[in-house]
Amino acid sequence: MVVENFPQFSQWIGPGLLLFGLILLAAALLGTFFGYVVAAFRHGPFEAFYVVAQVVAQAIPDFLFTSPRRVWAIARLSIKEAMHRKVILVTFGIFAASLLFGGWFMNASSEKPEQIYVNFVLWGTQLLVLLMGMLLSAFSLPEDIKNKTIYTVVTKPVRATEIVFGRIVGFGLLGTGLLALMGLISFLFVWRGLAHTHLIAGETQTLASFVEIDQDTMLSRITGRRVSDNAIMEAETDVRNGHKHRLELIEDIRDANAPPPRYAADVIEKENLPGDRIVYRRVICNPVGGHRHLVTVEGQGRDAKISLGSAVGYFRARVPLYAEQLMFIDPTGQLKRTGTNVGKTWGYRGFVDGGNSAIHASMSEARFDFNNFQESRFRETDIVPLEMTLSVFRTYKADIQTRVTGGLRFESIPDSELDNVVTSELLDFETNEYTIQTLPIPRKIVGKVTSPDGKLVSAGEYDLFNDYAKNGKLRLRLTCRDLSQYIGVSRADVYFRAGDEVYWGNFLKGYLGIWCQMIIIIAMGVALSTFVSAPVTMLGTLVIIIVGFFTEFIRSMMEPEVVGGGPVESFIRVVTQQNMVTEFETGIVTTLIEQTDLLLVNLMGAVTYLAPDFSQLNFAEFLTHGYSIDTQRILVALAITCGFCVGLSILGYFALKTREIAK
Amino acid sequence: MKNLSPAVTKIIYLIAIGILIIPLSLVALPETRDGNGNIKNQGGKLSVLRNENHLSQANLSEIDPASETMKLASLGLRGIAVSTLWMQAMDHKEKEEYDQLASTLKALTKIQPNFIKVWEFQAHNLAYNVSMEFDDYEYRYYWVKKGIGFLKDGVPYNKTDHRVTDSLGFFTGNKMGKSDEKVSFRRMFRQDDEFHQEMSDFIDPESYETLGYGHDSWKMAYQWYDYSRDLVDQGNPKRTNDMMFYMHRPAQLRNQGLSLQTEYRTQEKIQDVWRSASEEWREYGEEQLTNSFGTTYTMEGMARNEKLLETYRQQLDDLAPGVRDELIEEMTSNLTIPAETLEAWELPADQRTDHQTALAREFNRALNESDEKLDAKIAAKAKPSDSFEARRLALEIDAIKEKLITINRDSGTINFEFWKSRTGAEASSAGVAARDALYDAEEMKRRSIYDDEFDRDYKTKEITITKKGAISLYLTSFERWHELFNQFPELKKGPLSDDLGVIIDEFYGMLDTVNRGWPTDFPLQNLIDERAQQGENDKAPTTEELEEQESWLSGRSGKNPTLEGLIPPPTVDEPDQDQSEQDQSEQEQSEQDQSPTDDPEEN
Repeated sequence: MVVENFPQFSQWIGPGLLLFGLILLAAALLGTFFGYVVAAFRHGPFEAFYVVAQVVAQAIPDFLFTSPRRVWAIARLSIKEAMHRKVILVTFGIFAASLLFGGWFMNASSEKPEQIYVNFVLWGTQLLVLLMGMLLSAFSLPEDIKNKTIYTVVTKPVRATEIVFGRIVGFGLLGTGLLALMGLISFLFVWRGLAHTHLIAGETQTLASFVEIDQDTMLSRITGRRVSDNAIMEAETDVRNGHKHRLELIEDIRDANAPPPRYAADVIEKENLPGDRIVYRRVICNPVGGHRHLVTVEGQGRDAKISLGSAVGYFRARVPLYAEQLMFIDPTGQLKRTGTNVGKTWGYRGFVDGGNSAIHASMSEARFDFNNFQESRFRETDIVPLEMTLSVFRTYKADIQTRVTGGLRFESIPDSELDNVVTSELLDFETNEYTIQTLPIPRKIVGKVTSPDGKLVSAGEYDLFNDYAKNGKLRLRLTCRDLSQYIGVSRADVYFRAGDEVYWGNFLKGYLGIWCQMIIIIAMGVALSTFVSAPVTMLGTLVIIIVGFFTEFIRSMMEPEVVGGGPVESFIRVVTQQNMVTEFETGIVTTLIEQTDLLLVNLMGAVTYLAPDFSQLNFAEFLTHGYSIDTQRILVALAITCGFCVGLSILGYFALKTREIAK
Repeated sequence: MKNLSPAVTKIIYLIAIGILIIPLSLVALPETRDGNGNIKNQGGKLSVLRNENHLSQANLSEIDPASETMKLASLGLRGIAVSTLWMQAMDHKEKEEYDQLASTLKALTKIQPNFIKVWEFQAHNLAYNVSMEFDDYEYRYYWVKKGIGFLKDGVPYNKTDHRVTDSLGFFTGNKMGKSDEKVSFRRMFRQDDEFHQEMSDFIDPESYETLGYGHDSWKMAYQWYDYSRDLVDQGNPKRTNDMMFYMHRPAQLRNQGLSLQTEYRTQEKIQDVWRSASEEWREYGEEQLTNSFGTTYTMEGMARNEKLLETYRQQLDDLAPGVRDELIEEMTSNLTIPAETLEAWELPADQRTDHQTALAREFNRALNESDEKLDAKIAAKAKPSDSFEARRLALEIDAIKEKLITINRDSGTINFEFWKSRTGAEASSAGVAARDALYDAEEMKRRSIYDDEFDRDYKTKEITITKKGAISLYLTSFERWHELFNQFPELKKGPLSDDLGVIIDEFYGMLDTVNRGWPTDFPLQNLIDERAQQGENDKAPTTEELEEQESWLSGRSGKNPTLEGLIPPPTVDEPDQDQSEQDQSEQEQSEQDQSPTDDPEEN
């Protein structure tokens, strides 16, 4: 999964509050100034001071003495009003229809069906909920004003703050209820869409349906593909959900005193071998589309009944322990922040090379420095799973039958330069590009201890937690082991999997992101509707939603190297059917176009800073890729939501105060 | 309306809607067909227009609900939706999110399903660009299949356009059979029942099965091109030129033969494939082709047209006796050729300078232009009573000349004559024998068994060869190739000769590895010499070089620099008489040991 930022709430909140304070101060000054100008026109310059001062003075008790009871009463009124308008019902109807017909667009046989299902429900829910929030909030207050029903409220002893808060709370509650319902149905939809099991293809559900594997070629007789190293027989399942699995009978040979396989229900035969060894013949199911099935064997030997359980591998919420820092060593040994660029336009991953025919050994490596690498953070500590999603770049095809090999080395990061360093031996592994590959790292790894001057102190097996990461710090060095080939990584590509979170809890967190977006939209709709008409509010909110979704894109338009120019230039090119690269003839018209574009683009850029950046509130990626959404992100999202709600409520309050109705 | 009550207003609206629905439904009514597929009702005007312009699905049973829903859901903003999806697709590709790319493309084609280039471009994107991003060849195969599967989904939306099925043929053949991973791809393809099932909507998997070898990618490509041929035969427009359109099908069988013979020992089944290829190629030669200038011709029509040209010219000469000779005489006598040009023209092509080459080319062009007008000039000098007939003949001659130029150019473009001979040669018994022998030799080379393995009876000194090594087998193979070239001498020029050149070079390298000299009676020595004359830079020694080496070894001259490093040094010890006899007996023995199955000619 692509992760480009790793927010820490404690580090984020300080600058965030400062920015919020500055925006609030700027808004207060601008508001006071404009308020004074408007009041000056209405009441004259001297009277205007009094009016403005009165509004500001009234704001203090209004905010301080806002009654939760009255807020709740207004909220209830808003809920009733919204229910009456049937917006909720229509939204839910569209959602239900989408789920009913959504299956038409779903490809259950795709490589990663879980991503497609989860993406679909999250995207659909997000879109509908935001539109609903926009419609509810945009039409409510203007309609009340237009119908004069607002007077039934303002004639009561209610404060303007209570009207604004009440509506935000009311619509928010309604949206929350709908979101919860949609979340629950979505969860069931995804679960139902992915749940399945298989039968073995063949006449019997026993080993009789299996065929021998050619041990010379180690290629499957069924698919022609590679088989596991220790496989001796194979079979296939039937096709369900658009896919089938290949089953293998493997020989798991262990020392007699070694523990038996942890999952023993798939053992079909056990046999003692000479030399105090035991072979466990097990039936395993190969993964397809991110899942596999647990195999259960009833009985022993060829007549044992083999059955497959439900899908395993979906609905995961991995808890990753990311490195605190990633640095690269270039081929000459220089420490750098970025790896080699192999010519990809997307610079997310840096590459390390495996040397070339002239140099052979390259010094190139990626260094992952972990902090807080402590035993207590891991669910299992005997075998620590290291997960990687690597990219491979070949400068020439070489042996296309084998994958590029990488190397891993663990190293301690001493607190002092005078301390010894523990370094592990090199662990080779075969890369599996674009796939989350798990390497089980044993707790005890062979290595050596060297003194600061490079002298060998001792060698042997050392403990990952107590020796390598004695101070909670661990360095992982990743290298490429094939000449003239490259391995690409980013910081989020390599992590230790500390454990798994409960999936529904993570699903809830994903919906919390949508909830934050909805609340901001509602607050925005309510705030805007206090001083502009319903259509303008809707348009304004829609613009904010679009800007929020395309913040990155709009900001990228401000970059000088964007081809095709700004809005005016692009429009001219579209109308006159000109390409994007040819420059306009220099002259006064071109200058005028360029300057107008510059102004417009900067204006658009400025708007992006006023609108919420929804990418910070969107956790869909985590759910679709099966990662736990960490608390830091949730805290940041909640803080952003809170900030917008407070700011927009203040705006709504003052806007409402300036209108006749609220006086 | 203002005075009406809301209830009455609503009723009026409903009636108005109802009335408007009637013409709307009549205009938009889809076409309906009976159980046999015959049109029962042409449908409304829109449906008729769609059918006429092949715009989208007009038949009720053809309408894809998903596609129509997507189109309707875009609320008329299809262009914006398409642009957004294209941008999204490009973004996914850039960020290496390939599964999401495939999903986006699926949505994209639902919105613009009748835009052929979208299917072709994006299928190519998946099968060629995305597949190559993966390190593991199994993933690459998955994405090649995905690209082909994606394109296949475009067929129902574009039932009258053969370009989609042409591309399917090209992708299947080219990617599975010609990429670097072709061996692995074709192996997996043979056993990929899931994929064959997916393709069975349009092509019966049995139709591309080769007995004994399973499903064959080239044969599947053949079936896709056959599908295209059927579409055109049904009267749908042909959108590529005839020469290429009709060549695709025979080319696939030829490629199948080429692939199979590197994967398996030839045997009769592959011979059958070559026979089919030869037959298809022959049929292609007889196919009436029309080029973009409207010239109709057949690839096999060269001899026939040449004869016809001769006949017409004779008839023209009969109408204007002696005029041709007079005109030629006049033409050459009036022609003032600069000495420099004449000198350049007379020089052999490879000895000319750039300037001389340009002069010679200009002179040739002038000669041809004069010749082009010759028949018209003769016709002009015919008697007035024969003038009409003479002009007609001159026009006929012009048309035939145009045809001959076209045949010559087009058959050269696709190497028609070579492939015709090649497919015939490969299907012959001599061809099979040569291929089998080569396969056996290469198998032995793969196992690094170069020399023969033998048992020697120390009492009788009798040697029995137990297993032939790669060198013996290669020599046997070259003898078979020699026999084949005797039957098909035209194959000595062209790609086959190049392929053999490479194999001979490898053989030369193998001899070097085992420190053995070049055989004195090498069966394809002629081929090596001819290739050297053509300027090919093979490593194997020519007869001239061998003679020089021999004279050098005889001590008549000193060090021979031209042979240094080229020919492996002679065996350290001069072979004694016994050894020569032994070699000879081994050779004889090896020939006797040739099993009947190794030589189909003997069967």
